[in-house]
Amino acid sequence: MDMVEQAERQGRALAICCLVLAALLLLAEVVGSRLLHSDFADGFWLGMALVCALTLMPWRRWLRPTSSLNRLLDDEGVREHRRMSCTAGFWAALLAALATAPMAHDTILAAYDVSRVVATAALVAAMIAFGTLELRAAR
Amino acid sequence: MSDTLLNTLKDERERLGLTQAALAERIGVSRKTINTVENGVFVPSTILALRLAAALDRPVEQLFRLADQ
Repeated sequence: MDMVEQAERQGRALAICCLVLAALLLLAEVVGSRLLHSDFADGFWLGMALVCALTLMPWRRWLRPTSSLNRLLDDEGVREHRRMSCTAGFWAALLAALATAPMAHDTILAAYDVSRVVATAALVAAMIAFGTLELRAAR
Repeated sequence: MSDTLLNTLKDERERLGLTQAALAERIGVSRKTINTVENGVFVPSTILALRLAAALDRPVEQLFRLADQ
């Protein structure tokens, strides 16, 4: 298997992984905030959020910048998709913050819950955008 | 003035009998990037456009042009 094919497979796997992680994070948020108030649920959500944030970063390229495979996995097209997905995440976070601000003002939601909603919205939007753009490009 | 970029990348690639993957390997990018440039989804940087022109042995203005030109 040559390098381009290997990058293609790993890129597709990462895109699918992004979509699965986005679904899991959303599930962790819904379950944690609505159904199950426990330290485990909070910890699970925090862990998922950190994994999602890490997935959106080009850490492979940072760790081994000279690797040809890592360069293919973070080429111009992928960087553009990452930029677009981070923009989608920013707007989702802004909308979530604006939507939850009145509830926080009237103390319907605690500051912790608001921060979780905003972070979840940002990460889920960014992960779905990145996964979708990457899968569409790989067609 | 239009900001839509048209390209003849697919025709030029096929003229040389190259697949998207083979062209990607020549210029050191992923096949996805070649695919998105060919389909007009992604506007490449000047560096990538020049690399594509060199790999396809064509001047860059023959590969890319604005829609209203």
